[in-house]
Amino acid sequence: MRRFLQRHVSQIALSPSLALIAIFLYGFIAYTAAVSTTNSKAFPRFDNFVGLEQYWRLFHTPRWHVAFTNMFLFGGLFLLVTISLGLVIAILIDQRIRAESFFRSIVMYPMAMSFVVTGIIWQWLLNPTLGIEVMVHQLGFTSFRLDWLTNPDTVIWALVVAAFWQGCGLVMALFLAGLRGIDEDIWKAAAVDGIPAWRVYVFIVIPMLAPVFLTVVVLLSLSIVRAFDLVVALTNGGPGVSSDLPSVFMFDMAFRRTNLGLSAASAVVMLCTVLAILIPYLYAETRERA
Amino acid sequence: MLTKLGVLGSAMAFALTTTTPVFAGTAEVIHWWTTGGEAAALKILVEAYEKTGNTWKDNPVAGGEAARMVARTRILGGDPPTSMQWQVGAPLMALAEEGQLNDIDAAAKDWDKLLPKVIADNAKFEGKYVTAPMSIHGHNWLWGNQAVLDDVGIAMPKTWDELIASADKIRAKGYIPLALGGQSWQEIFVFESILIDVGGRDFLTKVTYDLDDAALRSPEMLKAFQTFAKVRDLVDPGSPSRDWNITGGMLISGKAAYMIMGDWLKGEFVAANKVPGKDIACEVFPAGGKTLVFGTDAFAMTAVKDPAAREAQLALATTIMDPVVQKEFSLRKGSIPPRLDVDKTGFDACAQIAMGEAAEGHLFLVPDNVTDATGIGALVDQMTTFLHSNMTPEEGMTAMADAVAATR
Repeated sequence: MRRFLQRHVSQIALSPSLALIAIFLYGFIAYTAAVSTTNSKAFPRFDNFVGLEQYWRLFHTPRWHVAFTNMFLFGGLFLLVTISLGLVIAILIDQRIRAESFFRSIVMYPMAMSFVVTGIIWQWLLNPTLGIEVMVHQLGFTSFRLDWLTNPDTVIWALVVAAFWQGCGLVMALFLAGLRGIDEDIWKAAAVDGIPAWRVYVFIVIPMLAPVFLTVVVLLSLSIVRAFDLVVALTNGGPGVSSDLPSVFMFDMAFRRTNLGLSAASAVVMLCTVLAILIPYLYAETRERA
Repeated sequence: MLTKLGVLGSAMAFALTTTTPVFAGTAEVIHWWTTGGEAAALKILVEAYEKTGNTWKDNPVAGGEAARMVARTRILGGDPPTSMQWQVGAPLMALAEEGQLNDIDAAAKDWDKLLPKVIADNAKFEGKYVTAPMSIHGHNWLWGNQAVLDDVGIAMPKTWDELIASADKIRAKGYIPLALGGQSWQEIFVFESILIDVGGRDFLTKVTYDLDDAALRSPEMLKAFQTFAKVRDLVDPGSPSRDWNITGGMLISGKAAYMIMGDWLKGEFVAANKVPGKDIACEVFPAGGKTLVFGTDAFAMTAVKDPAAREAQLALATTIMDPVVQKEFSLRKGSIPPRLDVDKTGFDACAQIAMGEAAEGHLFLVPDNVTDATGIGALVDQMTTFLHSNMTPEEGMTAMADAVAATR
């Protein structure tokens, strides 16, 4: 008995949380997938099997196409802008500047705001009758236009700007930590060889930051798929439905349109999208260890 | 002093015990009336209800969606509230079909005579009342800032053609013609009034209730889209995604001439010391359309089994339909009473117009409460997409008809 306990103590300790994960994570994923094959409206019902009809319907819903495309558009732009500018800011702060902690704090502070507050702030700033546009007009530049928020073609940039403002601090901090971890001798060696600083960054330092890049991409990708509160606070999906994201679509179908079947189908498609991105990454990870 | 109070107290206790019916119960009610005017109106109902000897257990949840979600979750979990705020029509039937509602026919003997037919029909499941209607709000109201209209020198328009024709004059004086909050739930009021304008009540029925494919691709629909496309030029650049109360402020402060919004907007007028019907002109729009699109506030009775709770439900239904409660409630809420026999004195000019429309049988239940939510939702999505795009009316009409067809 005692030997059994000694040998299996870790399994026993882990089993409650494993059971919880099995039920509340995988169990409900399976439940959602099951609901997506039914014609459930306000309440989940399993006596109304319709096969893959909800998926057919989903991909014939113009609004879903907007939401799904937006996820990649918003995600791509957000990753690109946040990583590149976050890295540049980190490098600038890394130049042993004066009042470093002051500048670091400025970049870090927006992170303390929730997405809801971020959304409201940028909604006001970008509103063409209240915000930056009015201010610039009052300075005398009356031809200035900033209609990102009210133009369906550019509203995604408004989301990117707000999300960047909020997420930049974290990215900067991670890169800065990475940069500080670079061996001083590399810089000394480069200085002896007379290599200009930008080349050291591009060809030596940045490739050495590869693990940091991976962390940043994973963290930001998760926040992209989860992005819901930002859209609700900033645009509420508007103008029209042009800034919809899959999470907003899913919420709307489940709770406003009381169409659980369709909502579950969109949730499953979202999960599949995430898996399509994560599985190659996990595969590479496990291969490396093996 | 103390003894006097003691005597008074015991007298009151005596009075209470003698008037309390045998089955005094407690009604736990989920609702979303949390703001100033709403809370004042609710107080009327609660006080009248407690006079029947029953106890009101208040369970307010801010926001209609959140409140309905709480109620639905409680029902799913097998612990329903005694009653909850719920709209009549399809949302109510969905609950009734699941066997989640009690009938209250014992308290509703003469309701068929008291209520407009459309409300009576939609408050019943299999011929039995399952909900008690508290108040009505009209949606397709055109509001006009009288000072602005006077300055421009125009009267309230009767049709969409007149409204659009007046836009240039309004703009020439430096005002915004139409204050519109560019969120789909606000825009649909505009679109519905245009549908009434081009094809009357029948056409509105075919499009929003039946989601009829032929109607969605008809010449009338094209005309509706042509008119709707002109709305793009009636509004200011700040319109997209703007909240309704901020938009209402533009009308009240005289920045904009018109606004189309439900009659809850009157609450904002009163808060700004403007008299509805005088400082802010009102009109069911289009005038002569014989259609007032409306939504209800009603209390659905859940399928509780306990006899005391059943009695509490019946007492609640009776209290809600009491003529005095109906009148006093609506006066504070800015709505109109569903009961047709409530006298009009004390109501503002706009509410009196609405009560006249209700008596004439012009009520038209909001499509959200009639039509399949996914179908009407697809229509709304395409409506708002069109308004915020450069699509031609032809493209907009086809896109809407196709999107609605895909939900069948």
